[in-house]
Amino acid sequence: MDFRFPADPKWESEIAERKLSLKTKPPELSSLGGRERIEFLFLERLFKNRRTGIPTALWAARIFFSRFPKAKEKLRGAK
Amino acid sequence: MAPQLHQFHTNFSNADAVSQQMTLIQRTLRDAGVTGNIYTVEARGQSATTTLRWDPASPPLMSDRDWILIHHSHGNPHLHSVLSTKANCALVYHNVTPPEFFAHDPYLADLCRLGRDQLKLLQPRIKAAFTVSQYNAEELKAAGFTVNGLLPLIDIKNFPALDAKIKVGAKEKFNFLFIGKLAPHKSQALIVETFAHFVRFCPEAHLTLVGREDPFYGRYVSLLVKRWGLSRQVTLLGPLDIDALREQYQKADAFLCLSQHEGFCVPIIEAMSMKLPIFSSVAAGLQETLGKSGIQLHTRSPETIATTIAATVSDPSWKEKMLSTQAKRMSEVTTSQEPGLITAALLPLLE
Repeated sequence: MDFRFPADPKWESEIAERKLSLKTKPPELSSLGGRERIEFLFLERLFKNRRTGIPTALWAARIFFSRFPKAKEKLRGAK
Repeated sequence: MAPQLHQFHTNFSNADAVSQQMTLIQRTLRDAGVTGNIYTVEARGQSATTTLRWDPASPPLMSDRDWILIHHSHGNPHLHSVLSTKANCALVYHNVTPPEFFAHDPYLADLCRLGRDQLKLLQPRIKAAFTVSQYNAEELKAAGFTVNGLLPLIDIKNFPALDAKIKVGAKEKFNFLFIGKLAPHKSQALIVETFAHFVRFCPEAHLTLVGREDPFYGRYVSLLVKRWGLSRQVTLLGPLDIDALREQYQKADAFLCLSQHEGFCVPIIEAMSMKLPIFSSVAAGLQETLGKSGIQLHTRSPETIATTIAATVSDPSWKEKMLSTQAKRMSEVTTSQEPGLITAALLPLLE
């Protein structure tokens, strides 16, 4: 059973029989801008597919440097 | 001087459940003639006026007749400092979110891991232990503690019962609400996906998500909303004060909770109190909080959840049916949240 209504099993069965189909295909990623699309794919990989690793680290670094641009300059200067 | 009962939690804000319980305990004990301060290392928002800062390098002086109630909900980097006081230590365990939900944030994951590890450190020093739910009590017992009892968590009179709005069929505008930090274990992304399917049934539906953001997960949820083209129908609000929260409960038609981990989930009780029908998952402590009330979801499929909600609200008597079971549960909860239970549990410690 996908759901329960423990207080009234009879009503629970009535709801189960009434189920409609509401399947909706996710829209194409074109609703997001280029940069957002990349960000979304990384985040989806992280939170939906529970994958961490290099893409996540790269994304985190990008966020870090966008918030702290001086750190990027210092890193460049240190090379 | 009469013994005092102080409280400590690493952080304090007016919006979270732990802080609200600390305030409720302080107020209830004051009414019973017991004084004590709320100590915190990090006070957020306006809460700085109601708390005292705990300086880890120089902890406040307490006598061996005083008690300190340590609220534990994640790792406490200052635990050694708190345990260094002369006061007798008691614990309120609020549950610690499993670290695997924070794979994206090593700091938070470490803090959660530390929270669970610190139970071993706390155990020999704790003279009385309390929790806010049976679910949390079982976890604490498994960690080797003797649990003295449950302490009320919420001040129910802040959320007075409303006259239920009767809206049937849900073809008109239908408002969903969820309240909780935007974080992976609260599964707001699944709520958005469920909502995206539900919109086929009710094109004018609206979803409001209230709570402060984990920056990474918050960004994911925002982009997910945009991806589904729902920017006009989904509102992400930050943390709100009690008046603004009440307003959100009043506007809503249903409370939708799909969390994967909750120690108790105060918003479920608030929603019940304000006569808002609840659709909820039953993970972790949620089953206990719901009792027999609400539509209890046992699937993680957004499409199946959306069809279940649509089938439910298609019944002309859905609201009456759901609210009558919630009213029964609410009367049980009201008994367990009676402020008198705070004095009954804590005053004997001071004798």
